[in-house]
Amino acid sequence: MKVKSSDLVSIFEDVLKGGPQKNLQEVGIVLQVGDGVCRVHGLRDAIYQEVIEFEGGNKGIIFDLDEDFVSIFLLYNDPEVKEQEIAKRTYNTFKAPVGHNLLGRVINAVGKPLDSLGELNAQNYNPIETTIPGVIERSPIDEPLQTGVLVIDSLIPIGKGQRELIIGNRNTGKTSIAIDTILNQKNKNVFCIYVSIGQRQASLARIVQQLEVNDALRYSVVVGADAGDPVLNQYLAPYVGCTIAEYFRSKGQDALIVYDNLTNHAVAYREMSLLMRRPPGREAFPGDVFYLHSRLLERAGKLKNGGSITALPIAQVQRDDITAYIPTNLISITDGQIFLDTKLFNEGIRPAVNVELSVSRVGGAAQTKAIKQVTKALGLELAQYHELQAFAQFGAELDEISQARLKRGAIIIELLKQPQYQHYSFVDQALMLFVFKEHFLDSIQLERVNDFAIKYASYVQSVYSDVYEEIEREKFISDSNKKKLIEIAKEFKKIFS
Amino acid sequence: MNESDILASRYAVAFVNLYSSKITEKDFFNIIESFNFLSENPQVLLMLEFPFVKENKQLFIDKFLQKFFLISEFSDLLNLLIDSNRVSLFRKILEFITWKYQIYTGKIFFRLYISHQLDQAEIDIIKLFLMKCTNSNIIYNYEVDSALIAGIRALSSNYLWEYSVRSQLQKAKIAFEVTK
Repeated sequence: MKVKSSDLVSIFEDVLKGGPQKNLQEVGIVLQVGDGVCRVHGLRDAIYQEVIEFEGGNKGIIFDLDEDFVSIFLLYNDPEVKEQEIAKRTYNTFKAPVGHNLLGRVINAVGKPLDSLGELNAQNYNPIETTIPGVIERSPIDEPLQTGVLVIDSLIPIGKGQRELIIGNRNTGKTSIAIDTILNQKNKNVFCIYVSIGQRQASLARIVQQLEVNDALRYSVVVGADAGDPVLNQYLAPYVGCTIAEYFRSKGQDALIVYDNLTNHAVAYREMSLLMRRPPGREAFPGDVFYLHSRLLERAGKLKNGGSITALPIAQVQRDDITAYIPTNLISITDGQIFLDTKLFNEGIRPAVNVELSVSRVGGAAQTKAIKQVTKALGLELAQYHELQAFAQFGAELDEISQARLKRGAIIIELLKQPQYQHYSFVDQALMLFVFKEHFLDSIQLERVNDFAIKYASYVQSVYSDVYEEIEREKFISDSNKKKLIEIAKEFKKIFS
Repeated sequence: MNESDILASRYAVAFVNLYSSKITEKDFFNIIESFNFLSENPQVLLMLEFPFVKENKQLFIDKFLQKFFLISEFSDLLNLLIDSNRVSLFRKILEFITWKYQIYTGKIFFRLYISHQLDQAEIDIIKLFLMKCTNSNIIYNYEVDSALIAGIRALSSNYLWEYSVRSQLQKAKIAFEVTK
């Protein structure tokens, strides 16, 4: 091919005659690269969070606009960005793939598949930062999101559209509760998004396998940004996950999103801020670390169109200290927290939920009537038990009432124990708590309490299916059913013993 | 921006504010040339940081300005930097001056890379084109770059116009790597 200079000049002549001014690109020149961030001179009209393309093929996002430079964080480790390389504007902010085709897929924060199922075939690409729905568009949270975990559904109920923080030390079962909640959404028309931030690849692989084995992947999307990914990916992952969840909500469907975990997310953002030389604040986090999470979690909620996003952010604390910076931020942003206690975990109480430090600010509004009927004063009984237990440790002689309270407390603690991957429907939960409320468990050996309650629920379901189905349908235990359940419990107790 | 950048930027702004009217297009290229020289030979400025007698330093400054035909005001700037132990900022200040000068005067400096030699009339067409595209006055220098294979690349600190075989090959390569 031979191209004459005069041919090239004719291109300019064409343009000067009034043709389109094509191909004049707004660019900048890379002056400095390192630690996944580069400083670029130029790009004068670029906008905050605009995606920038480098000549060598890499991409990045603008995070700082200075008088003479812009700071761009790189999306990929490869290909390397070199000094004096040209950085071009794309006039777009970062977009995430969304759509029903993403269900069953494992993707990374930049929307590339991590599984071996081929191209994503996304329905659309939506910007990851969007306007948060206002008060007018929202509707009150009044529908329960069943986690299948008895202690949570009975004492710390979560509603569709709620943001409930799961907080605790490492290895206390935070992820397990989140995964159990996802598994319990099977056939409940709730789409689940699990976002892994700064975790080991092996952990993510294990979670994906669990979802697959339990047939939960078909209604789930997994977004992973592992510890080895560029820091920008860890920053982006929760926003990408939220954008996917928003797609489902915009279609009037319910979505559940798990951010595992936002402590790592804050650490990633701290790294980015320090690299951009932003002034460090408490624990070296930047001043806007609160906004980082508040704008993410405010996107959850229930809308008037019927769709909802329920967010379960996870926060890791050090030595059970929930007064650290990020945990307190998250506690204040969310509508409640489930605190997992190392001490309880080591005592064999699993899930190790510390009921006293846990709360759901939506509370009873997001609980089925049947559960509400049987959980009245349950929290109070537990609190009295813990108080008396501390007192009893001094070896003081206790009166009969106190002893009875201690016994009841021990029973409820035993009843609330639940193995992982075992979920109870709300009817089962109501029946299990019903036998406790009606004192049928008082005479059962402590180690058999759980067994009795589970088998009782199963007995009602199989033998008295009409009662079971009526509760399931009406979500309420009527007086007549209450009488029937008492009779059934008496009958079952004879069989059980 | 880090602290040294901020300082360098302030010196540059002050210099351009005071002397932009004295800086001709030719001086602008001389500044660029001296900046390139200092980028390749950063140790040169070390001479000014050593505690030599002031006369020796002045001799060095004079020779440096002479070599790159820099305006005499740079001598004042260098002396100011020596007095405040900030000579190491000089290279950065030169870079900032080239940027600030363009903003201050509304002129854009383009580097033209051309695969084959063009005559002046052809280059004038390119200049006119760039002036129309950017709606600004243009300062340019150009060089023949055979790596383009065929075509032209016009690059400023904020704009790029490229129409070359190399860029097309580069695009194809990236597209191929993405699909791979």
